[in-house]
Amino acid sequence: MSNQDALSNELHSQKSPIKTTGGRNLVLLGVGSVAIALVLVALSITIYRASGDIYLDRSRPGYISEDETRDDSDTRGTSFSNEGAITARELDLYLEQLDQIEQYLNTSSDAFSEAPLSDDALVISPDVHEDVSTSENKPF
Amino acid sequence: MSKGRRLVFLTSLIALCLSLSCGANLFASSESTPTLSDEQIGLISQNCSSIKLQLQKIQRTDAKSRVNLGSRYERLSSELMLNLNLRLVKGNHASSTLAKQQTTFINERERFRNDYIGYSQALDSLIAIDCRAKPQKFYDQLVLTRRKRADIAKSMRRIEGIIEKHRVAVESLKEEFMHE
Repeated sequence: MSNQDALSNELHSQKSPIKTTGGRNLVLLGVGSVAIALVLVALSITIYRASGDIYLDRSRPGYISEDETRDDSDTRGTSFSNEGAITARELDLYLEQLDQIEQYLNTSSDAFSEAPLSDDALVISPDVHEDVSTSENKPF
Repeated sequence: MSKGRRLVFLTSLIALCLSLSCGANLFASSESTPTLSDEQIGLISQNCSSIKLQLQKIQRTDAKSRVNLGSRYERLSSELMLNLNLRLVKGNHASSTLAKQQTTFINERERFRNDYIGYSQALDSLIAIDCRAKPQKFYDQLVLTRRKRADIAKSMRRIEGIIEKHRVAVESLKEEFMHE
């Protein structure tokens, strides 16, 4: 083969269409981004659950609504300024405000009592079940 | 001590630790797991769906109670106790008793929060158990949940105690100011 033929062959091979991988890379980038986003979302939800914030977050969808918990009218005005001299009168005002909060706390002192989770309340105590079934079977 | 004896000593020490911890676990589990009668197992399986509904209601009520109690605790701590102490410090009447009470209150409020999280996690797990198929497992988790709930109640009692002591301290401070 002459030098001219070799040169023309080389030129011919250079002219053949160049394979581009841009499209494939774009798909890979998209899939990679979605995969990373999914991993991060899963991680953050795991942390959100494990930290317990899920049980305290009032903005969580499905959690109790603002209206259901808005019973703070009794203590809404409770505040004590951090400015000014302290006198017996000021301390009286302070005690009044403390009273308001204490009153609420006294009324909800059995908020986490053991009763709602007792065997009787859940009707898994045999005695209670007997009572219920006998009362249900009582003739009018 | 020769190398062989040292090895025997270490091995027996590890074995002793392991048996002690296993024993403690067995003791704890036997203490925490009351065995259910056949009748109770039957009742749990039979009333499973109504029990679950009731537990969901409790979960909702508890969340409300936590929010309402938490907002009062927050108000008491940040709008009353903190401001009173600030005013006392500014007026050169700083009270170490009141400052300590504020710190104790904040710590106890944090404990209440953590106890509530622990309880909620236990209640969530309880609701997730299939009580129809696994009544004994369900009851074990119920016992654990009750214990966690009792922790919250104890925390509330401690907070009430701190508030009571705080009231007494403020009243005695008021007496001092009246005599000045």
